[in-house]
Amino acid sequence: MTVPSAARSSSRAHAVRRVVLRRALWAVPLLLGVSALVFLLASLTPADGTSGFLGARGEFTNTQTRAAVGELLDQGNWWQACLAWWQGALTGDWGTSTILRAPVADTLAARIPWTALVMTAGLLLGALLAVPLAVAAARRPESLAARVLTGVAWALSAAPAYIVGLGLLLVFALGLGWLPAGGLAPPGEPLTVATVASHALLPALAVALSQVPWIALHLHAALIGARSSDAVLAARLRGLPPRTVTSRHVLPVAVVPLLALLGTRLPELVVGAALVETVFSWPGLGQAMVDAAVGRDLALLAGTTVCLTVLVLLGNLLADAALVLVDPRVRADDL
Amino acid sequence: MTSEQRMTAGLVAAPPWRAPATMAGLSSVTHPPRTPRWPYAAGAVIILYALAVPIVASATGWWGGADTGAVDYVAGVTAPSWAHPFGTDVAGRDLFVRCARALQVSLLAAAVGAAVAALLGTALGAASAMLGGRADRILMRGVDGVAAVPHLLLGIIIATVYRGSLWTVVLVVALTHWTGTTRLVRGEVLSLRERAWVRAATSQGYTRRQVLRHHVLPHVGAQVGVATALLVPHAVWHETTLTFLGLGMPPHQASLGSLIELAQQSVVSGAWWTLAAPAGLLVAATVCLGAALHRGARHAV
Repeated sequence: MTVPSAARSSSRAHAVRRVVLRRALWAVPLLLGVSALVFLLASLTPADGTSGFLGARGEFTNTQTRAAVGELLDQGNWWQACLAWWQGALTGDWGTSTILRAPVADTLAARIPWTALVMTAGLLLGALLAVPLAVAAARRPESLAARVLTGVAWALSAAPAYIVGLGLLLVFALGLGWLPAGGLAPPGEPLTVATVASHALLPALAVALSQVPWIALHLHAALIGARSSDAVLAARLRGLPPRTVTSRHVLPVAVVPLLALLGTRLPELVVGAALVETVFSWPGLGQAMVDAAVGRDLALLAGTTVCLTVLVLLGNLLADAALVLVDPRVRADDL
Repeated sequence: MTSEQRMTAGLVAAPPWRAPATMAGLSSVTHPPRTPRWPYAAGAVIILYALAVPIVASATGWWGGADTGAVDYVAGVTAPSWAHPFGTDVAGRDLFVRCARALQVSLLAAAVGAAVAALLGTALGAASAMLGGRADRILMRGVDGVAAVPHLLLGIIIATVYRGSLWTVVLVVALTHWTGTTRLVRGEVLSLRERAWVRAATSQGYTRRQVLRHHVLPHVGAQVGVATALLVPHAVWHETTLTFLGLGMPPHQASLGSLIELAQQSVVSGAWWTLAAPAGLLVAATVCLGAALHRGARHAV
């Protein structure tokens, strides 16, 4: 501990910069690969590609959309189409969605904030629920309450987010009628903070409940491990009150591994948006991607895929940067 | 550090339905060491239910008989009773028998998908380790790339093109989950390659293929088998998710995903049992089979 704190913090900042740089370099081939896969698979469509993307019953006979799809597919082979798509995307032209009949760029810009809102709210709510539960359970690991808590968390972790969502819908929206069942606001009414908040509560709760198990179980295990460490033993020997020992000596050590774990869990969280958004008709990116997949809307599928991948990479980056900042034991080269 | 590396570093543990890349993922976080024997019994009950109920139904005609495809709208959406322990769905089909069929189909799709993923992963992992050099580096970069894309995202893209059958689910599971096995097998083969008996075989002039087949792969088998078995509950999860989104199994084919998708509409009119039966079965099956497989794997290794 002889390193001056200023030097240490500057080396931390340097480490964060290195992580950011490496991740940015890694993102380029990854995004290219994912978009190339979309176009490769689209070119392998067993049936006639154009009819597939125009809808099986020929409902999209609008000349504009037909021209848009034709343009997208008539770029030669799949990688030429992909490169042409990237050329457009980098200049702001993401193509036209056939199922939404709107430019993909506008759709993405309108939907990204809603997905980000529900994911962030869900993750925060999940942490708010899980941390007190884990701390309480770790205080008396042998008690019946702690065992019930771990059992419930374990069973909950096996329930996919859409089952949790449907269950919440069944109880709180249809059974008790406390909260609205879906959408952003009642039809025809303007968006206000209050209506959006009331409509976002159930989707956010569904996301939160699907995140509570892993946070609670791992924090519980880490707390029990940290409690028996030498540092905590010494703190207790010095006669510090249990509350201080928990908040100052046990929690900081136990929370750091969670931050590392968050990076590995974020992809699931972001893409799990597709499930929760589908259940609650929440107009986010995940729902758009599922709609694009069901409706075989190539431009929208490519756009949402790339956007979701970027969100995943950004989330990963944030989690890892936070880890490097918080835990001096982690070196930038390990990440 | 990738997620697999983090998990094997002992920093974190894989939850039961997530297939761990190696045995080090089998930690005691979600499985206290004094876990009782209930997972075996519960897993056996669930398998027995899936296998026996359709047979009993066709033999005795209980629960509306075994013809789960028959549509009878008059008998539609009835609550659980002695005649129909799980109630009936919107088309009047008995859910007790239909859930059993659905579990069979979901487990089959998951098991085939996991097996194909294991074969693909083993082949690529062994090839990567035996070839070495630049081929190895390129292959492992590819593995990193595929592993960095969320499974569900990749699954939705694949299912957009090939949708609506059991093979879609198999394809999606196989193409998204081979990376774990590839890393596992590559690591094992790299360490096995330096063992005395492999060196002896090489120095006696056996070809690389013979060495691989007779001296290396047999020793990798057990690990791959365990990893594949642990993948099955996770793959069931993928089947239900894809089908729920309308991209997996066709709607008329009973599978846990298609039952839950159908329930999404019935639940709105208050038919809670149409959701509770398949969803409860899904949770019970993944928890119990996952726990039993983990326990079995820990004892076996």
